[in-house]
Amino acid sequence: MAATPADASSSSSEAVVGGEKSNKMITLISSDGESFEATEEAAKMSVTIKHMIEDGCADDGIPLPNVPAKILSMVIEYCNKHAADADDTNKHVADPADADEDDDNNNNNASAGEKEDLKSFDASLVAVDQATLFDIILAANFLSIKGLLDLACQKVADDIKDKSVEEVREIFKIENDFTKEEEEAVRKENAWAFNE
Amino acid sequence: MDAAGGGGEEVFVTYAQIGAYFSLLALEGPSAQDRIDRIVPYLISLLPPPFVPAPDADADESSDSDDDHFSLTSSDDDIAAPADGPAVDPAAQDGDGQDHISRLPDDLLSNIVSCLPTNEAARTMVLSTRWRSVWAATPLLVDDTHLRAADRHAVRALSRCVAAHPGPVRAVRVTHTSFHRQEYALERLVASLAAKNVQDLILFNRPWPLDMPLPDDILSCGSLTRLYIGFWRFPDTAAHQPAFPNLHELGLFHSIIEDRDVDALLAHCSKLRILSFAMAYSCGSRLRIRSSSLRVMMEWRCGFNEIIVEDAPCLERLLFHSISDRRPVRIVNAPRLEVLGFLDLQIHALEIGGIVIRAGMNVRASAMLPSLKILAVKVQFSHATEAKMLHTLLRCFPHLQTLHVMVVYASY
Repeated sequence: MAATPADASSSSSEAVVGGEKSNKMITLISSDGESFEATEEAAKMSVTIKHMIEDGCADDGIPLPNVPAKILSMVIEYCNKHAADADDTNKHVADPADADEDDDNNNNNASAGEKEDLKSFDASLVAVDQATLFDIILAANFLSIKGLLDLACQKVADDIKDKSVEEVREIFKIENDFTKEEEEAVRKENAWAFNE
Repeated sequence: MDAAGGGGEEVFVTYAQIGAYFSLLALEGPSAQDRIDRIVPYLISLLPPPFVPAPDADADESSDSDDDHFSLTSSDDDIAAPADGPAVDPAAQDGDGQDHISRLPDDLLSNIVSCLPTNEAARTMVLSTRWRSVWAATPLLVDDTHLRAADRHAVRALSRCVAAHPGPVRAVRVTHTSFHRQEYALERLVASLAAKNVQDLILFNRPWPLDMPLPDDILSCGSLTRLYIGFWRFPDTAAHQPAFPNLHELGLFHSIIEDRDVDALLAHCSKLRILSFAMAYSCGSRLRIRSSSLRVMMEWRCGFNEIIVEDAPCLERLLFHSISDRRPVRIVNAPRLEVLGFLDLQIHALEIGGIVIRAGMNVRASAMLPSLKILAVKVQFSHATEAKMLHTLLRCFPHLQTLHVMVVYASY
């Protein structure tokens, strides 16, 4: 389900597809006034939104004053992709007593392939410039989407790994406000971390 | 892999005795060193996975922690896998020369620091004064495979790492360090962990020796939710009462612990859910399960003389991989037991509700476990009694849904 900008004044539409889950659409409104639609299932990947839905505050669309449109569309993309995956996983785990060995192997291969897809999707989602990456982190934190928050934080950690302190400062433009003496003292106190 | 108690008569109390036992084994097979070199990685593979995978270090050192391993009892499998996508050129990220990372609040910076291996996480403290306070406020995660100190200094690096951090300590994983002749540093380390409210502790001593005493302060780590120890002599609980009100998961691997200390642990861990023993070789011991909270009990290659599930109202899974001598498995009170196995028909003499299960007997209601859904047995069909026993067993479990059978072939 691609997120499509809709008329800001339209209320959320109800479309029940299939017999399994209610695919009620939820409208999410970015900080710059753009509206996006997402299935309730995908939207509920955000614990914040889930609570608002359950408290009945979602009927006229949910304003998200902290999340700009560019970021919100990426967040919704993540939720759509991962909500679908969560559903598939639940189907496979249905009844282990039923599956014979062949079934098990087929199921595992299918989910292995899907897992690869998901991994590359995740990797490309966070392969963005710094400003965007940190916006994603802030949004995932505000919306309480643990998977996305972990993914984005891990990406930042991966960029820090295996680099010297100077390199990290350079990449992230962190200003070093230690005096030379202070810095030396910290390094000395924690020699176990700095001497290899 | 016969390192666990074979004879049943020997009780190991000194390192010299253990060393002699291994030397005896060495006369007929691989050397003691070879044996232990194979045992250690096996045991490490049973542990919960590391919270941050070890950085790609030398192949020989880190290979056992990076291998595919399965964890039979881990309750923690939420780990964000590092993105495997195309490596991003850092220059490509350099958008506008602005410090965006500082927009994040401290708790999010802590999240990022927690994704790093221990040594790299610590180095962030020198990025700027703000990052220094972020490091101090981030619950400490320590993994000795991340500290690339040479062997001699491993214990020192570990101690300093913990000592330098104000706490709390969220998790410590020590699987590659030898504490031999470093008793004082070991004691200080454990005391420091207790004082800093360590929640998750995996503490292995790398042999040799095999029976180094674990400091008493381990029993004071009252914030522990998960504890796995390996290659120690467990402290005396009569002298120092265990205080583990939050402990959910306990693993005693290749460690020497008296029966009464196991009893004391079970009595004082009111929230314990998962208990595992692996290669326990304090021979002549009986394992008695009395726990109002225990859900899963696992025994892997241990030499217990007797296993009694005396009072385990919440026990759902009882898992064995037993070796050596025949022993009774007495299930007295386990009304919720759903999974049992592998019951080795040659080794385990099953008793239910006080009634010994004999091949071909008439099974009364009190000798049944109606809750059991999954049973796994190891049976040698060429042995008539075992084959008959299997048939009798099935009558003990009237609501069985799944039966796993491992066939053993006679080897003469």
